Amino acid sequence: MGNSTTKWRTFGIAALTLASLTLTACGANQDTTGTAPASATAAGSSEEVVLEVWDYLGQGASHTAMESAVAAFEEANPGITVKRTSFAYGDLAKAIVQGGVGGSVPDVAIVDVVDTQNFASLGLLQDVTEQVGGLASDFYEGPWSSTQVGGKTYGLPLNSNNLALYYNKDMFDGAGLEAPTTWDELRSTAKALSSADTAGIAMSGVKNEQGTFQFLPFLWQTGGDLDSFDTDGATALQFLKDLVDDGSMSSSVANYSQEDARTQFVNGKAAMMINGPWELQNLKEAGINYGVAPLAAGEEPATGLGGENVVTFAQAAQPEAAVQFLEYLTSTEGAQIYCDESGQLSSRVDLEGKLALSSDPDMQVFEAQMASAHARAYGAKYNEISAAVQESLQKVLTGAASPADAASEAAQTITPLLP
Amino acid sequence: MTTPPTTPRAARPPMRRSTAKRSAALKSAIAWLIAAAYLFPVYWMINTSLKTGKDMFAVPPQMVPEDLYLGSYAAVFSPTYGIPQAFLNSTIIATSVLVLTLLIAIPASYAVARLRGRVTTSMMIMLTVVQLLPAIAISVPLFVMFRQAGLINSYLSMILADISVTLPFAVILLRPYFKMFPYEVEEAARIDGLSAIGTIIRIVIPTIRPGIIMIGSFAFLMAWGEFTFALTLTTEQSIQPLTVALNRIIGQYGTAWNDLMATAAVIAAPVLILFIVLQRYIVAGLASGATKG
Amino acid sequence: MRRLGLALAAPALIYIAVFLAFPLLYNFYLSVTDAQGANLISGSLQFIGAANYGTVLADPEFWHSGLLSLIFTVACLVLQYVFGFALALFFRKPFPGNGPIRALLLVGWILPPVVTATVFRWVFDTDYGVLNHFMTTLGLIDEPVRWLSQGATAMIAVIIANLWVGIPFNMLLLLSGLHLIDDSLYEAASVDGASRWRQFTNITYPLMAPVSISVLLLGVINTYKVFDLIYTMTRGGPVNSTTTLPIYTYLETFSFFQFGTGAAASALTLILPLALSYFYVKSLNEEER
Repeated sequence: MGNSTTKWRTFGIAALTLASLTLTACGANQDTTGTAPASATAAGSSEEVVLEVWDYLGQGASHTAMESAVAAFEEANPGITVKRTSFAYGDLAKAIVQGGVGGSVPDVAIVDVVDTQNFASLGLLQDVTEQVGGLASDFYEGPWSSTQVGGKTYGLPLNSNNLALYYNKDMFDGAGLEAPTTWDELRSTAKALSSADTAGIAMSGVKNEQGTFQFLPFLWQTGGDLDSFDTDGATALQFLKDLVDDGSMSSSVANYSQEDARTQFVNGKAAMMINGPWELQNLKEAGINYGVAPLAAGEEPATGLGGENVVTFAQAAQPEAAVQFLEYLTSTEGAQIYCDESGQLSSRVDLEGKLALSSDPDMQVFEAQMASAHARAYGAKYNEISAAVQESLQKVLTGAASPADAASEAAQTITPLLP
Repeated sequence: MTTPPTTPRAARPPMRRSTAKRSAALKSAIAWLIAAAYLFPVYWMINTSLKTGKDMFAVPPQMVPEDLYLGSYAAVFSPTYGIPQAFLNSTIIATSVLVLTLLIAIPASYAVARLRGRVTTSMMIMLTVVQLLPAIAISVPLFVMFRQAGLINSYLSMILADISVTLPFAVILLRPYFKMFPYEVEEAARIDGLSAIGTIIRIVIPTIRPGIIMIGSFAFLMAWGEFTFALTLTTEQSIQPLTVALNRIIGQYGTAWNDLMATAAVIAAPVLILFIVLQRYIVAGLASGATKG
Repeated sequence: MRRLGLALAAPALIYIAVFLAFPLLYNFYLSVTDAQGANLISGSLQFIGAANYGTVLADPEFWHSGLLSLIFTVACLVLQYVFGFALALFFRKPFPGNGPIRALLLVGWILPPVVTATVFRWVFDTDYGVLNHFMTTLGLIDEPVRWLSQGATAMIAVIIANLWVGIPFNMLLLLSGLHLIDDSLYEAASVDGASRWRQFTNITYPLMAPVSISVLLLGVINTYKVFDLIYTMTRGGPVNSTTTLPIYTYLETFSFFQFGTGAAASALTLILPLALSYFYVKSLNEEER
């Protein structure tokens, strides 16, 4: 309860100061702040534990799924109340570091797998090796490794996901087209479906990790990797530039988040979009006639491995309850509740084939793609590497640099940072 | 004092007067056109806030929403975006800034207007300089200071930071009002037995009410629209004001334009109402320059 | 009396000392330490001399930001002064609706910059923005302009948005200057047969010089420090094409959590306003005499 208590206490002081100052002020001044009762709420009972949780799951199916998982936890642990705060994807990591530096962190956060190691190396996370370090065999190797820094465990994986191609069936049927399976088909299909008021394809190219997550599959599809960004990065960037130049993709994707891509798709403004399984539920609710296909292959098929980890903080006000929540949420029970409702893939070995959506053909596309999903495991400097990737993507999408120049510049930054 | 030169104007033949009238009418028409073009973005904000997701992406854009959709306002007032809480936070912050600014600025302006000494003069210079500095330059050290004091994520930190913007202009704008107040009246009051403080409160302040209303409304408006300090000094949504909330929604739903415009309209509404009600005070304050934080 | 003055000014003095003077000095202290995310968490700052200044001055991004600040400031300053002056002349003589229309034009100034920026983001949208629609309808462009997703046009867009705020403000200040000019001067000039243009160059402009100087001086400082409008519209992007000095300082400090270099950048950013404020204070003192 630490954070909110100090906050209210501070506010109480402010209110009191205000009130007393107002009394001494001239009578003509009609003060209507009405803030006095606030200080009273600071005195809560100390038996009730309030667990502060931050995430970026504030909308759609992810939100309701997390609410269900939280409710199940609260039922199983009377006396603990979870107070969730949801951020925009791009804001959570910043808020955690800024909060850490500012001396105010939550107890638990549900974070992108790629951020976990960075937070741990900043000293923000609680070392939970003692409590859960022995659970490695419960999880798939990729997700598990994202919680490890220097042989210590700093959290547990909640779920996994990857990116696939969503397409608008009505538009495809109308044009007599099939979901593209190669780059060439993707390009020609996108072009065929583009018109004055519809783009062939939408994706997220925003200047944060989402942009990197969406771009890297194109790099891997060339058969290359970050160590060959100079050449293969240029090929991938060139492909996206071709889509923009063809009029098949708006250059505005440079500012799109993954939610923005969905907005375009749902409103019939994009015939295809690249997005993750968490959108399955949202699209069903939106009542749109869509299909899901694996990402089109270049030299080889590839997609990105994403997902969320649950972490607890070194400065947590409720460290024990935090670990309880961490353990519950990532247990068979908790993870199943969350994955079933949100449409995410499980990171737990024992849930394979047991999720509600396991029989859903759309979901099976994502599951099948796990075989070609690459993890973003590029060491401690990954953040800086990712920033360089985003920069090159932004430059190409906005026409500030040619793909070749952007790629070679990024490669110069990236190469020395790779492990 | 303008009497002698005005004679030729009175002697103007009637024909010239009617051309003058016609040119005034023409000017008026042009002025309305300018105002309409200028205010188009505000209209577009309201227009878009009343459109459905499909209509806002219509090509060509609908100049008048085809079917009025209030869903965006429903979304704004639901807890989804956290706007009701942010509205409350903005109100708390702006009202506190308003009160504290008046409490600090009124005596200080009196001091610099009437009781000039070396200290008050250098204070005046300091205030003048400070209002010229970028907010971001102050917010970096303030962030670290408030962190050491455990005040990050508190209303107090934002309120105190906002005063750094409102105080300088309040003192600068209020000082002339005190200066213009006739000294003899004050002396007379004091001879009648009122203390110095009593004179200020009972006699001077009621007389310069327009100035106080002006700086009061400015303090409120500035704090209501303040963004830089709120962005840098808080990370918790539960205490962030509307401006930061809007910025947050842009980060996640950057193309949900109807919701974004509805949020923008909700933030703008109190500002516009206050402006309409207190227009003459605000324009007078603006015209005297030295503002714009 | 002196004591009363001090007593009345005391709250303001204390505030200034604690929340303005001290932070500015503290900023200089931070700028010579290795303050950054991790060691602020652990709380052990090391004195490292001028190294942060070296880092900032060696960063091409910093110089690029300085250049962008220069472009942004000069463009806004010139345009808002010219348009503001023209409008002030237009509104100088009374005509029906003069007062209310002038007040309407101030709406841009009064709105929170974050709101203005959000609205302009939408107006400037590449695919569905109303500005591109108008320009296409008028036949000015064939292809939609990619306003905010292209470097040069993004800068133009933020300049336009800032002009929307700045022009009416300049108009108002210049108008109150125009009202100080005695009408008899113009009447004498028309009796002498001077043209409108001659009247402007010989009477209006010279008499407006002092007002113009303070308007321009204030304009430089206020434009140079714009942060919220640009940040909300573009986040400093695309890439770095609208990263002016305040944005650079913010990103350095709160995205990369390099408080030491951020403080150094902000100290360097302060040089211009501090230098100009010297002239500004001087001009105010002269007005007073």
